[in-house]
Amino acid sequence: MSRSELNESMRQAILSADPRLSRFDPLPRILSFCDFDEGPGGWATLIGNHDGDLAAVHPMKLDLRAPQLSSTTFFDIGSHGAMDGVYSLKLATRAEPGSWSTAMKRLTSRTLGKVQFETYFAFTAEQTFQRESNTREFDGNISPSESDFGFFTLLCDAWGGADDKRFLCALRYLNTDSEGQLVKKWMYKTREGGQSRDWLAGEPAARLDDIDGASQRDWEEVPGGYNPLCYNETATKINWHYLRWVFDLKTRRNVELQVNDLTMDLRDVPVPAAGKYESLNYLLNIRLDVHTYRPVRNLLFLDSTMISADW
Amino acid sequence: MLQTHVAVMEKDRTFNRSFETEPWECGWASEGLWLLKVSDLTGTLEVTSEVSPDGSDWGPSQYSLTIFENGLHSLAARDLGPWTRLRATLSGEHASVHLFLYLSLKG
Repeated sequence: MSRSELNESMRQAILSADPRLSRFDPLPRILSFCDFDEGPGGWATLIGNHDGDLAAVHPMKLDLRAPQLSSTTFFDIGSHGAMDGVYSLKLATRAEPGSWSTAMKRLTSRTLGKVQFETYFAFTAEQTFQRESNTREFDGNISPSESDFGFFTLLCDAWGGADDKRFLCALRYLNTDSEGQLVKKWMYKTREGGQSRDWLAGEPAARLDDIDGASQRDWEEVPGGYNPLCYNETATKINWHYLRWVFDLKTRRNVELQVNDLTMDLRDVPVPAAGKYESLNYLLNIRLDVHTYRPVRNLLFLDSTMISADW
Repeated sequence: MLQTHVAVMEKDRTFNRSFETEPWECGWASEGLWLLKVSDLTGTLEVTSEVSPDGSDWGPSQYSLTIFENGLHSLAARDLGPWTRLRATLSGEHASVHLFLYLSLKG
């Protein structure tokens, strides 16, 4: 066994022996590990750019609800707790159609290479008690609340190298469409836009319905991206899913996305160019967001997160 | 060393009617401090820290404050329970207020 093989074998043994780490498959260098039993771990919400006057903020990026520590406490069972311990990080929208919640980790990269984000997540729509317009009837198995959850998104906002061209890889789990019909597919965006600079330059206001790109209309299905998740029959029952997402700062592309047993090869999925930006050298922002179409809070819980790199 | 966290519950908003903030989970915190940057106040603003077992049904706590003038105001709250929010009641003719509203938690 060579020295490098021995090192890798020892690393794998150490990872496997740690109950907090063995559930992950990190790349060689761990940049960040957050178990939210120890605080929010540097995940904060997004706000659009401004010069101190919030009137200048892109209107879609002013009221993005911040993440909070959660004991996943519900009216019927009390505290659910996290996958381990008590606390997870919760992204909660307002109970208003079109509301968003975001959580972002702001980093820079030492060099341009592959980055991997892993998490164990759960999602649900808040329990409602007086439903005005059910899209589905409760039959003891299917919860109408499943149709109240719109979508969540993964996004990487990164500097692309010496030409200063920024790129933003984004993948969206579309649970329902805007009419509440279940879709359950992963999507990628086909057009860049919606940045503060676009807004100040006069981007058409009619397209302002997305914070991850130009418009919610500019998304296409990821090939092989149909991915029914576990929505456990009742709004107050949550189940943890494994997610692993790899993107490459050098090629400015997604590499792959894994959710439990489904792995999607994303190397041929195009990533729209975002143009040239200044002062973003080695920017590496990783963001999640949640959006509701309905007057119901949409909730995304992260038990823990792992960010690793191949450099 | 204690954990601390500040949540911006509302920012740069003008209200012309009474309202409640979004629910916030605070089971980990032993104390909370509501901080309000008040400007353009017409009428009076009464704020009450509320508690909830589940984020759905709400009741008042013993912590309440009535604001009559612009400036920075604070309302300390303990016994927060698992969830908190702030109820804000505007009173008076043509009552309105411009707010930045923060929740500082420590525990």
